[in-house]
Amino acid sequence: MSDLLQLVWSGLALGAVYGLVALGFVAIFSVREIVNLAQGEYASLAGLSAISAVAAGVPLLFAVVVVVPFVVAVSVAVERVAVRPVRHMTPLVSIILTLGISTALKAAMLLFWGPEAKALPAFPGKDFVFAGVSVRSQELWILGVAAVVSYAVVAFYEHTTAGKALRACAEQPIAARLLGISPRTATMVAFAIAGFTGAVAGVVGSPIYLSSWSSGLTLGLKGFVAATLGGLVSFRVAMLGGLLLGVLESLAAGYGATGYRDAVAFVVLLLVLLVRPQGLALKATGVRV
Amino acid sequence: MERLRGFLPLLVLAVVLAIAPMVLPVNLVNMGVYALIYGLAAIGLSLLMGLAGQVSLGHAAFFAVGAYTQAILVTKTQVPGMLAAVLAVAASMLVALVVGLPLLRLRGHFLALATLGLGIIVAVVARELEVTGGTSGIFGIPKPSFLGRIYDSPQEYFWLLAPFVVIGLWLAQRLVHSRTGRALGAVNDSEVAAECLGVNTYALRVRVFVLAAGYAGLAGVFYAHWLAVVSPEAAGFELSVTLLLMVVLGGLGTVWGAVIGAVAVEALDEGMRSFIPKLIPGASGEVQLLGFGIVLVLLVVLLPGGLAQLWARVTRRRGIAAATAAVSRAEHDGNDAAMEYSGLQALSRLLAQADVTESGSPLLSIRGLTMRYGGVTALGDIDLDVRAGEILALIGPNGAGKTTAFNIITGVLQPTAGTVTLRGKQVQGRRPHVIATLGATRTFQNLQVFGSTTVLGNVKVARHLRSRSGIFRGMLGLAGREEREIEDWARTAVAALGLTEHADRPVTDLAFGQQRKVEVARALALAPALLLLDEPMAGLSGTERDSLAWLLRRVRSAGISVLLVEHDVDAVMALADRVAVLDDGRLIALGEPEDVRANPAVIAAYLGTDADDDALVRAAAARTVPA
Amino acid sequence: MKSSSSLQTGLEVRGLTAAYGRLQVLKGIDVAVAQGELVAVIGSNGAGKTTLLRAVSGLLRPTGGSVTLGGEDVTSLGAEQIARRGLAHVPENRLVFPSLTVDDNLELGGWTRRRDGQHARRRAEALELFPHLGDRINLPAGALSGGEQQMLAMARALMAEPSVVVLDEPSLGLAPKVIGEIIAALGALRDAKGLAVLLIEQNIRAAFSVADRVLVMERGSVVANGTPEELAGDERVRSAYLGAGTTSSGAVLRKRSTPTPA
Repeated sequence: MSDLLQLVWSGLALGAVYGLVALGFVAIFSVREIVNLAQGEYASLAGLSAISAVAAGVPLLFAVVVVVPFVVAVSVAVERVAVRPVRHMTPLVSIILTLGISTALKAAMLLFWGPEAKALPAFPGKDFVFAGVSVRSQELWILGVAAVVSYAVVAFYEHTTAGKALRACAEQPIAARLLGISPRTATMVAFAIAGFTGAVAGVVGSPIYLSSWSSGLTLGLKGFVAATLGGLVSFRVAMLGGLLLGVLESLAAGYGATGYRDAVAFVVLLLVLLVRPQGLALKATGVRV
Repeated sequence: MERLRGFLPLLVLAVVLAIAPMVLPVNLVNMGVYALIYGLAAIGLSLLMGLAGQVSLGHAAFFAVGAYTQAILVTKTQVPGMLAAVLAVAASMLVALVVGLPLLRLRGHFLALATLGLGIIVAVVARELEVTGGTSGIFGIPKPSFLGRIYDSPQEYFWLLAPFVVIGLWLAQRLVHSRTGRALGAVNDSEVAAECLGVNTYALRVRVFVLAAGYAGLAGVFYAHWLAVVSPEAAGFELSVTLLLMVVLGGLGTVWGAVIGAVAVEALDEGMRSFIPKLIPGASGEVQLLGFGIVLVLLVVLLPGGLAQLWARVTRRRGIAAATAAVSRAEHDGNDAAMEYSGLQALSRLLAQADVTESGSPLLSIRGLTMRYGGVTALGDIDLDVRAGEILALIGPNGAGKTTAFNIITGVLQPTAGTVTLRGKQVQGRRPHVIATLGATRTFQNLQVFGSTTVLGNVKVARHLRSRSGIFRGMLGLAGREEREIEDWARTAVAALGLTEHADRPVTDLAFGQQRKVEVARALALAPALLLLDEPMAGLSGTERDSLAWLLRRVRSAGISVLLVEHDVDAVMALADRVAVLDDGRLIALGEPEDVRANPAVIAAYLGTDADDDALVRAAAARTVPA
Repeated sequence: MKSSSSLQTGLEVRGLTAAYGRLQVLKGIDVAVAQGELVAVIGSNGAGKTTLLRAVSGLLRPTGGSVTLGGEDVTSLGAEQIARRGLAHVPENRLVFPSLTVDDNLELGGWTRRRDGQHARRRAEALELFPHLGDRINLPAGALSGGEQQMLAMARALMAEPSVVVLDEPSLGLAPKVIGEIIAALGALRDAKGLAVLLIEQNIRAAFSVADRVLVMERGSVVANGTPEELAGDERVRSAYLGAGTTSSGAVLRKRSTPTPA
C-alpha cells in the first residue's frame, strides 16, 4: 500500500510540473490559435540559466527570481520577432514556426550548456517520511508553487480586467477591437504568461527531474497532452490533467514496463483526440447560441 | 507538349544522378545517398502536406516501420531481400491505414499533434520490444544484392537508389496532375466546395496518408541496408522534423520541392558540420540544429513557399509579358455579345448532359424540417417541394433561416428534425458528396473557388463523379482518355459561361463577378438535375445579373431545377416560377411571384405592420428619459 | 440648417470608398452626423451599409475619402485607436462576450477609460437606461435573449463615454416589442446624452420612427437623402426593399414626434 501511495505522490509532483507547462499552452491557445511547440524549452532554459547563476555564486532563491523574468522576456521576444510578422497564420504555419523556434532554442542551449543534464540545488527544506511515503521537500515546493501559480493564473483571467480583456479577445476579437482592446497586445501578454509558467516549471522541477538542452521536448509534449484534456482552453482542467498524467505515468512505470512510461502520455493524447477533441471540460450551462 | 514539359526535368534529374557519383568526391556521394533516401520519404510527405494540406509530425514512424520490417525479415528469416522489401512497404502502409482511419477524422492542429503522438509511440515501442532489438536495434543487415550484384560502395548504392527516386518523383508528379491530385488540391483549397462537388474527402485523405506512408516505408528499406543498423532513432522526432524541414524548404506546393529540399538540407547539414568548427572552435556539428531552427523560422516569415517560391518568382517574370497581353484582351467584361458567340452551343451541349426527371414531378421534397440550437428555433417545421424543371426562390428578411435551410438541404448541416428527400432518397444528415452523387450541387455566397488552380482546373474538379481513375491509374498515367474527356467537358462548361479567354488563368486573378461565373460553370459541369445557388446575385453588376438570369432560364428550359436563396427581390420576382418566403424560421408564403408580392404577411415581414408601429410608439411614450 | 461649426464635433464622412479585394463596395459616400442628431442608413443587403460602418470605425481601411471624428481625421487609424477617440461601434449580431458576465461585459466596455475611476458611475447610468440588465448582471452574456444582448451591447458601448455611436442593425432578429424598447433607448441616447448616432437598419419603420435624417444606400452609393417625411413616399425607398410596384401604405412610413392617444 505504501508503494502505491509513494507512486501516487511522486506522480503528483511530476504531474504538477506537467500542469505548469500545460498552463502555458492554454494561455496562448486561448488567445490565438497557436500551439506553441517551444513551451517545453522555456522550462529547460529557466532551469539551465538558474543552474549557471547559482554556479556563479548567486544565492538560489535570488537566481530563481531573476531567471523567471528573463525567460518571460525571451518568450515575448519570440512573439515579437517570429510570430507577429507572419502575415497568414494557419495551423500548419504555426506548427512549423514554433517548431523552428523550439529547435533554435534547443540548439542554443546545447551550445551554451553542453549535452549533460544538470540539476539545480534543492530549495530549502527537509525531506521526511509520512505514512510510509518518503516525501522530498522539493516535491512540496513543486506542489505548493503549482497551486499558487494555478490560482494566480485563473484569478488573473477571471477576476482582473486585463484577464477578462484577454478572454474577450479570444471570444470576439472584432468586438474587443471596437472597445479599444488590441489583439496584438493580447498575444504578447499571452506569450509572457506562457513564458512565466514554463519558467516556473523549469526552476521548481530542476532539482528532481534535471534540466538539459533536450529535456524540453518530452516535457513540452506531455504538458501539451495535459492541456488537450482541457480542450486547450481550460486552465483548471489543464492543471488537473497534468496531475492525472503524472500519476498515470508513475503507476505505469512502477507496475509495468518502465520503458513505456513515455508512451502513456501519447496514448492518452490519442484517445482524447479521437473521442473528444474539444477536451474533457464540461461546457458552462445556460449559454444560448 | 504538356507531357514533354513534365518529362524534361525528370530526364535532366536522371542524367544528373547518373553522372554525379562519377564526378563528385566520395564524401559528397555519401551525402547524396542520405539525400536520396530521405528525399524519397519526403516526396510522400510532400504529397500529404503540400497537396492534401495535412501536417504530419510523426512521419518517421512509417519510415521506421519499413526499416525495421526489412531489417527483421532479412536478418532473422529466410525471406529474400526483394520480397522483404515489398512486405516492408506493405507493412508501413498497413500501419498507416489502421492508424489513419481514426486519426484522419481530425484536422489542423489536432491531426498534427496526433501524428506527433503516433511517432513517439512507435519510437517507444521500437525501443522496448525484443523483436526490434531494444535500444540497440537490429544490426548486421547485409548490403543488398540486386540482379546478381552487391551494392556496397556509396557510388553503387547511389546508382541503386537513383532510379527509385526518379520513378517515385515521376509517379508523384503524375498523381498531382491526375484526377486524384486535382481532388486533393481542391480539398486543400476548400474542403466544403470539394465535398459539394462529389469528392469523398475523408476517403481521399486516408488514401493519401497511406500512400505517403508507402514512400516512407520504401525509404526505410533503403535506410536499413545502407546503415546496416536500424535503431529507434529511425522513428525519432528529430527525423520527422528533418523530413518536415525538407518539404517546407523545398516548397510545399511541389513534389520536386521534396527532393530539392532533401538535397538542400543534407548539404546544409554537411556544410555546417565542416564549417562551424572553423567559426566556433570546439563547437561540434550539433550547431546544425540551431541552423535548422533558424532556417525554419526564417522560411515561415520570409519565404513561406520555400525554394519553389523563389523559382516561381524568377520564372514568372518571363511569363508576364504574355500574361499582360492576355489580360488586356480579357478585361472587357462579360457582355451578352460574348456569350452569344462562343457560349450558346457549348451551353446547349452542357445542359443536355443532365440526367433530368420528368417535368413537374417533385425532385426535392422537404417535410417538417426543423433546426434548433439551444433555445433558438432557427427553422420550424418547413414543408417545401422543388419540382423538376422549375426555378424556386427562397427569400425572406435577414435572420429568417434561409441560409440554415440551404445548408441543411446541401448536406452541410444536420437538421434537428424533418426529412429532405432527393430523387426519392432521404438525404438529411448525409454528407454533401452523397448529395452530389444524386445530382444536386451548389454555389456559395462567400466564394469557395479553388484558389490554387486555374479556371479550368476549378471546373475539372466537378467532373470527379463522372470519372473513375483513382490513385493507381493516376500515377501510372493510364487515364489518358478519361482526362481528355474531362478536359473536353470542362472547356465546354467554361465556354458556356463565356469564360474561354480566362480558362487558363489562375482563378484568383479574375474579377469577383467572373469568379462567381466560375462557380456556376463548375456547378453546371457536374451535370446536376438540381442546381442550388446561394445568393448568386450578390456583388454582381446590373449586366452581370441579367446575364445570370438569362442563363438560369436556359438551365430551366433544359429540365434542370434551380433552388436559389436571394436578397435581390427584384431579380427574383422576374425570374422564379415560384417563390417561398421565410420569416423567423417559418414558411409564410409559397406561390407565384405576383401573389407573393401582394401577400400581406410578406409585406409585413419586410416592412413591419401597423401593430408594430403602435408598439414602437407606446414604447417611446413610456421611456422618454428626462434630460 | 445646422452651421458648419457644429460639425467640429460629431462624425463627418466625405467621399469614402472601400473595397474587399477587387470588389468595390463603397463608391464615394458622404454622410455627416452632428452631436444630438440621429441619422439612419437604410438599403437592401449588399448595399454596403455594414461596410460603411466598418470603414468608419477602423475595422476596414478605406481606399479613398476621409472620416473625421470630432474634427480629427481618423481615416487611416485602426479600430482600437478610433475607439479611444470616442467612437463606439455596436456591431451586427451584437458580439457580446458570451462566457463573460453582463457585469464583465460592461467593465470591458469602459476599457479605454479604465483608469479614470468613474466606472461605478457609468455603470449605474447604464443600468438605469437598461434596467433589464440589472436583473441579469451576473449571468453569462451568452445566456441572455437576443433583445437583452442587444441592450447589453449598447450599454457596453456607452461605458466608454463616446461622443459618436454607430450601430449595425440593432433590430435584427428581435421581436417588435423589443425593437420598440431599443429604438426608444436610441432616442434617449440622442436626446439625453447628446450623442451623434449613425444607425443602420433594415427595419424601415424602426429607423423612420426615430431618425432625424435618412440616407438610402444602394450598391455602394447614397441614392436618397432627407428627413423621414420627405422620403416616406419615395419610390426608391420602397423599391430598395420589395421591388417596383409594391403596394404599401406610405402613410405609416413617417416619424412620430408625438405619441397618438392609445
